[in-house]
Amino acid sequence: MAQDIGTVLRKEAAEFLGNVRTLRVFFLVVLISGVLPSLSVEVPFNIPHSLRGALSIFYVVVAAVVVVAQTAPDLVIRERAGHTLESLLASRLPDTAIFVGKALTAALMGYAASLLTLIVQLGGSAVRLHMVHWLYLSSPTGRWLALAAPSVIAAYMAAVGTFVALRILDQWSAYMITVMSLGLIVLPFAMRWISLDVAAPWLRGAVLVMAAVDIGLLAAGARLFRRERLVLSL
Amino acid sequence: MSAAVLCRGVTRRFNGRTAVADLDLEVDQGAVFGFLGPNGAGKTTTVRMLLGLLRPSSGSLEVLGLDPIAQGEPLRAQTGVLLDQVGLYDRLTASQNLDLFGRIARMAPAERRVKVEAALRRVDLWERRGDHVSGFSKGMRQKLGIARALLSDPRLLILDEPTSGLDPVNIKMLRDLLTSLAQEGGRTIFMCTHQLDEAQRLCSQVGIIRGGRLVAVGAPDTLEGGGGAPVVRVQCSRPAAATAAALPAGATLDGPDAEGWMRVTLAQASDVEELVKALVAVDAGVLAVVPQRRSLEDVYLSVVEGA
Repeated sequence: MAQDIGTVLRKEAAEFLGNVRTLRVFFLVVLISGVLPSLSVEVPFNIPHSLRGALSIFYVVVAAVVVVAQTAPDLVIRERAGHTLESLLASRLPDTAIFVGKALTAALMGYAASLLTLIVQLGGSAVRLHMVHWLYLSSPTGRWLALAAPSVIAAYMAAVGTFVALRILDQWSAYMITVMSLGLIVLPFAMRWISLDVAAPWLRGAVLVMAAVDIGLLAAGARLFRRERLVLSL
Repeated sequence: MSAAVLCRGVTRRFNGRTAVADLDLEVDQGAVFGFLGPNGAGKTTTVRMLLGLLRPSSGSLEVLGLDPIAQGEPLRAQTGVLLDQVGLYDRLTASQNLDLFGRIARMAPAERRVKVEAALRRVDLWERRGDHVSGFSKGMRQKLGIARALLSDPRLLILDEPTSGLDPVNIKMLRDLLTSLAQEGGRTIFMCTHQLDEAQRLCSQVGIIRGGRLVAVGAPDTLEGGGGAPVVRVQCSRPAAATAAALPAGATLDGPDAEGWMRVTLAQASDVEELVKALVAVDAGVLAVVPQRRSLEDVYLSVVEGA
């Protein structure tokens, strides 16, 4: 199974990197998310350092969210449009490998976008192109937020986006449902069912819970994804 | 010898519409089977069920002795497919496309290299191996699709309209390739096609599907169906009136033509013997009585048009 997932992952990565339009969007998102925090904090004066750090982290997460929301449905929709999805389904690849391979590709691209955004932010600060405060990375809390949170959010959205795109035909709906799935994560905090805490132990716990949710979603998606239920939509 | 494809009462419905109804079909191993029928007759739905891409609503299905749904992975590992849409990766080159499917077939790198080269040479695309597929013509895409289907030397080859939409030059090129594949033997070929002459030439068995129902099946030369009446050609030394007097009940006579041949349409096949006896009895001067085989096209048109 790992070999099959690797085959799909490799194929999807080659498709992603070979598509100029997708790459253009990817780097545009990274550039905007890398530069925008400084523009956001420097217009109103006297913004505290902690808020500057929070804004930077927010944009790191946003980069992952935007890239995954585009990539996950796109990996399926583009194949459906080019009739390659049916060729893939007619091959010996197991259902699980197709689903997990596509979802992992989207998650990895999203996480790569968040890491590159971070590098752009840090690079900008280092050469003082802008004054994003990045000292948050020296704290465990900051590192959990900047490095771990995007990965679990990206995996969550990738699992949802891939599954949705495989089950519905409309491209725009697939994008919107993927983006809106983020609301399910925010909901418990917005409704005050769970109180938000930015202490490192709480964050570590939250990331681990989210990672478990991601694994569960991938497993459920792989189980529910059955090729004989899909082809009619092609 | 077990059947390569065995369908028993296979039915597939979509939202109340029946696409394939009560399909009973047996394709021998090593046979070249032509699956004929007009657009929307149920050919592609049948192909998808054979590949495990669709679950039958009822009935049982075995392909290479395997259940396409429950044992889809081992079945597809032994099956090469060219679907009605070839489905190649445009941003990859010809060899990269095949290499990908070699990986999917879990070939080792060295084996992959050898088989990709052999497959590309077989379809005369070796010189174009480094070109992106986006620049390929429809004929080249079809050939590359066949190369992909042949890559892992499958026991069953499923081709859905392989010559559809091609110009005459490409049709001939692809037909030659299919002829050589059919002549190789050892491999079962299940081919959906509209090209009746192609089916007549290549196939050892054909089936005609209409409105989701299999209405005729058999060898192309002996295929019967659609209620078409048996026809014999008769040549006699005496005037046609003598022949007309010998006709069995329900038979009709046309001709003679310039060479003296008359065309007798009989009510049933068993009337041929009665006709010959009657011709001799009336001393019609029988020179020849030749049963006229209906062409595949005649049979196809009669069953598809419901004649």
